[in-house]
Amino acid sequence: MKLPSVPVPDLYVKDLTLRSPEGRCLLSIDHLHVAAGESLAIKGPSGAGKSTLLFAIAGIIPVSSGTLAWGDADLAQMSDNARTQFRRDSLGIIFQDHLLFEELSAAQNSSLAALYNRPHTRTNIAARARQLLHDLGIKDHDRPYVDSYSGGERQRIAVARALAADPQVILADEPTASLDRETADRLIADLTRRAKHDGRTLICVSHDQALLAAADRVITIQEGCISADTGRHRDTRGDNDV
Amino acid sequence: MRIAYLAAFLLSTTAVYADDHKHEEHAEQGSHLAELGEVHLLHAWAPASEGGDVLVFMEIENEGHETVTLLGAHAHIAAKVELVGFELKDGHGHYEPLPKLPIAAGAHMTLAPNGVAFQLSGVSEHLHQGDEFALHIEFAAGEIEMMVQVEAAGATQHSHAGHNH
Amino acid sequence: MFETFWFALPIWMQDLLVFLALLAPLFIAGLICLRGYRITPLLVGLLRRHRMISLTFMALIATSVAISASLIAQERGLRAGTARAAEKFDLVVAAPGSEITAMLAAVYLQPSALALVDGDTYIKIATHELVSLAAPLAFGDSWNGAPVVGTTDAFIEHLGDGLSTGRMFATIDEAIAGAAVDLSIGDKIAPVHGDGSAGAVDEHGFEYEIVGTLPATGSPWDKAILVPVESVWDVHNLPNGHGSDWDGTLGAPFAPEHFPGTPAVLVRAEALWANYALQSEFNTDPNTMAFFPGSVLAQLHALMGDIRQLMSVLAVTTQVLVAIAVLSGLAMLSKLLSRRLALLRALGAPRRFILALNWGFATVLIVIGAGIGLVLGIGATAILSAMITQRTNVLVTAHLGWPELHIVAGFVSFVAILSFIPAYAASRRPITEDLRT
Ligand SMILES: Nc1ncnc2c1ncn2[C@@H]1O[C@H](COP(=O)(O)OP(=O)(O)OP(=O)(O)O)[C@@H](O)[C@H]1O
Ligand SMILES: [Mg+2]
Repeated sequence: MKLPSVPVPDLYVKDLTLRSPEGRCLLSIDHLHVAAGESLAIKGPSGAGKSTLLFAIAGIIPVSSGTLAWGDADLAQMSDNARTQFRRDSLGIIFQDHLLFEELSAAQNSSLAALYNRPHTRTNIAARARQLLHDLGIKDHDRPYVDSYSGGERQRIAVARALAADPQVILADEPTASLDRETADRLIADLTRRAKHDGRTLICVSHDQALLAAADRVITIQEGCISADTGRHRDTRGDNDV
Repeated sequence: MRIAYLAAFLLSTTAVYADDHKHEEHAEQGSHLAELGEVHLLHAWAPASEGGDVLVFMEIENEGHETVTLLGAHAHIAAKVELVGFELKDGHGHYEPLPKLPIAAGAHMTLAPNGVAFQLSGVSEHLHQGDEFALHIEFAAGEIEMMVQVEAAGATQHSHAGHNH
Repeated sequence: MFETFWFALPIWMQDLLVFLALLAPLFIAGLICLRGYRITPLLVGLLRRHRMISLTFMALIATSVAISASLIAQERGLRAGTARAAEKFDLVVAAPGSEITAMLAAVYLQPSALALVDGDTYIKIATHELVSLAAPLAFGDSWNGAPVVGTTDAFIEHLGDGLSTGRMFATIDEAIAGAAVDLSIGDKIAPVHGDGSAGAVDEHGFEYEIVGTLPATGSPWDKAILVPVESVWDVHNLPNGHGSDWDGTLGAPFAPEHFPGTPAVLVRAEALWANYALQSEFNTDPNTMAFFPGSVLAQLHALMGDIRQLMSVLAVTTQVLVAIAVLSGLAMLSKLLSRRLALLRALGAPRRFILALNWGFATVLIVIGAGIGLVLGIGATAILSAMITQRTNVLVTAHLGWPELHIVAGFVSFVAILSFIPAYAASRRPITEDLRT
């Protein structure tokens, strides 16, 4: 059930600034390097810009200036279409508030990528999605509407959706927020194993201590800047104050 | 019968033109007039077309004292010419061939759309407004050539008839 | 080359090909826009979620399609119906005047005052060597709103190709009822002067007994009561068409000096050429006007053709306006959907996928709406036909046909292309803002 994919690239961020449409500076990151296969956790107070950083990394929000490159591909220089294609080919994203299609079933939600990906990948995506739902403990995938699932179940369906296309990079915004401890731990184990074992890059925004502990490295964001970096694989040229 | 009344009202305009037409003095006739004995043929016309089937209309006035019989016609530009009469059958109008058409002494026969006409088939030329072509009209008593004037594609009468005095 | 091929095809095949050609833009656009994507699950989801809005939009489109299709079909039905009703009336001779008035009176039995054809002229017509049937048609009286027409047995035979029940009238107080008249053999009626609508009922004090009924002809004559023409003259205190030595035998021959005149004469010759010869002869006679109801009707139909075109334009305009309203509605709806669309984009769905989804949604509403509209149109057509038939007594049997299908196909294609505009706009919306709302 493996999908053909390109090797995982490193993430380089340099002198990145991101402003709101009104001109307010939301993000200002001098330097960040995430190696391929690394798992990075991002923490910080509410409103610090964690989700904004994640969206920027995904190429969803265009940056105002600086470099934001996955391998050789600088998202800051890419067209909107190219960034979308990059997300489609390489990213799996779990959003803060799940964002499921209420009128579709769990199976349909988690295999959404099959609808717009290349036709020959469709059966693989659908099969992976089912397997993931099963692994994540979601029963009756074909219940017509997803809105009858509990908050935790919905969270897991969103996880299955992010992983269904077997992405190189997994971006997650508070993935364990509405899960009970046991399910959260299982999910954390699953995500980190995926990163370690399959060499996938994992970037998570979280306040969950268990997740922070499981990550290779934790950065703290405050008012749009990286205020702390506990990384074991820290870049030598990094000028972060620990 | 509201619709019929409406239609009748709208058609009354056309009727006025038709009346004009009857009272018209044929002052300016020239090539629009042909005579065979006391039979006058005038205002022969056909609508412009791309060829194929073309209907030719005219007025025939028998000023003599005997019935004359119209038999048909022929033309260089058409493979075949038939004398036809309009008929409404099963709700659809069509032109039926007429073997002959007697015109009584003193009678005026108007060949007009939805009535009697010469149907030219296999017309090889494009007929443009203002063109003319010859039509040989056959009566039991003899034959006569007449120039047919080509009018606009949607015309319902000869341009010298009716309103353009 | 193409022309010879085209005209060699059967008509239905040409119609089918035109229909498909009109739908081609829809299919081509759909193919280009949807290629490689599966939008069905999302589309079904959207339709389910926005059930009420979708149904409303489809109902709007369906109504406009139904109304315009059935109106246009009606016009065709009316054309065929009026033509069928005129079929038995080869040549009508009347006093000079308006052909249309005379036709409405003689063929469609519309009350109108016509000048009379006098006895000498009538006899000249009736005895013309080319004439095989000449019958006076004397209108003016009515019973319970049904016109009472004086004529001869020969005309009744011709009109109904025989009677359906009973026998022909034999005396001046006997009458034949049309198929749609609520009278049966043995019933007695006392006609009044005029169409009975003026209020003051002016009875003649003359009674007829129904002795036979006519088969249905699909014309206003089904509503008529036919009586001997002699009786009509009689009740109006006119000479009855025969001399003092009359033995009471109805119908021809009439005596010209006792013939009080008739508003119209139906004339029939065996051959078409003879009918035309008669027309030119009676038209040249200053006392008469002769016309073919079929030709007058064809002129009216040509005029109706213009009205039809106008109606088609109006119908299409209405449809397009409704479609534009629906599309603006959809544009607003896609604002409601913007979060989902932004989510899809954030997950990596290409712009064209968003375009395809929006376009597909609009097109499904339009196609289903138009489809329902056609079905409703069939019903509306039947109802309208029945109403027109009831009011005019001209049997109108209208059906939706190729012309309506062509208009609807063109409409669907046009609007489908138009709906690329809101769909494109939806695909260009900014992701971040929509995702955050
Ligand atoms: N388009 C925008 N225009 C103006 N301000 C914005 C815009 N997007 C985000 N912000 C602001 O940027 C800041 C960072 O937002 P972000 O969603 O990244 O916070 P967060 O760190 O994820 O917080 P939380 O933990 O509550 O999710 C917030 O103050 C938010 O209001
Ligand atoms: Mg956040």
